[in-house]
Amino acid sequence: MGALNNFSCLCLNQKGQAAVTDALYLLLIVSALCVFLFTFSIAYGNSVSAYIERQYASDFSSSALKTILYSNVPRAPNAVLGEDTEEVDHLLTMIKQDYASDEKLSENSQKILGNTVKAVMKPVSATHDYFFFISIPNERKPVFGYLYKTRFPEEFECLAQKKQKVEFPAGQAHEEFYCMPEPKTLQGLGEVIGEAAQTTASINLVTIGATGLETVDARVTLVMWIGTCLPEELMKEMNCQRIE
Amino acid sequence: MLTEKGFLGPIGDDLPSLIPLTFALIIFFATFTFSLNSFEQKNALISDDMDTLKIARIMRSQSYISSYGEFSALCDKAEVIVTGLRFEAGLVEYNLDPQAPYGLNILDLQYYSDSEGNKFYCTNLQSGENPLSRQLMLNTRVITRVYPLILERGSRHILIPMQLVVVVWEP
Repeated sequence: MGALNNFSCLCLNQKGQAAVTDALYLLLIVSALCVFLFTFSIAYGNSVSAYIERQYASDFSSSALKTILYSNVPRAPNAVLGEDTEEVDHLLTMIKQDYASDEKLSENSQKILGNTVKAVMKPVSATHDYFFFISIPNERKPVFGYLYKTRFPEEFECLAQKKQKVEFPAGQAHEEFYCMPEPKTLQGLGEVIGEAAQTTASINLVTIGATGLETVDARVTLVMWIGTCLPEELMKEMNCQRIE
Repeated sequence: MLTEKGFLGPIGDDLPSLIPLTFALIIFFATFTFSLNSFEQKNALISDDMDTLKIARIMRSQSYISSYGEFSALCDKAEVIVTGLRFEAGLVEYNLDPQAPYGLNILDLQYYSDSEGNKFYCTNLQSGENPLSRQLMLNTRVITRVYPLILERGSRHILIPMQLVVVVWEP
């Protein structure tokens, strides 16, 4: 009887321990699941928010390119476009006329085109860099390129191996360049800037050939990205010249 | 058996297991409540952002507005798109001087009016409702989107870049 009692007590005590152990296991599993749920809830929606921001950048880029190509421009390079501006013309017409004469854009046209791009892109220019260029894909020939980028401090080495010692006037947060990149160098730009909003449109340029006026298919592209440091080597590959 | 030390009974022996069980339930329901609130809050934010994009895409159309009539038609479409949100949208002039600094005060936007007095401004505010104010901005989330587009202006129908400014908030 005593042995039977001892055996019964041992079993009952073990059941009590088993219940506590089960509860501890349950606590452990529930804690792990709650950590997972907490982590998931913190990250929830981030990818959708990022998608929405990309959509805005894409919509802005598309609208900006249409605005630049449709707009009128003043014929005088230092004039500002308005209802009272004396001489105005379509931007595309001005480009076609200038390109037809010698198959390149004059300084006057470059300045007007660059100013138009800069003015239209003002709403995002504080946070985004952008590159506007015209090229003839069949001939792999650049026609015009305008680069607007953030100026990083001198001690920021970018991807270059050596520090670049360059003097800049105080207060300028951005730099502007005219660039004439070969098509292959644009791949290098894409690798550096990462995710970007890009819009492309086809236009026709005109050249004077042996048989008269000949139409040339050209492409206009606008790329915008969050301000990124561009290495000096890439700038040289893109044949960029600073606009003073 | 009842005289054995530490033995409370069949149910009493299971009482200590209630402590970790209680902790587990508390942790679970607290995390569940936090997650649910987080999901609902983020869903509301995403919904507001998507509605803002919808309004902007309607108003933007082809990025080319030829007349006030066309703008007014776009405005009529945009007014019925969203419910529960209030918006103001309109065309604001660019300062086309490339050297001039840029800035927009959404509480004091100078919407463009043509020579006939038509103001390129659109809103779904009901009569008697307060427009966007500084006090309102402190209590609610305001989303602003700016897009460039072309407007035919003047008697010579000059194509001039303008800014479409869309401001959305929860009333």
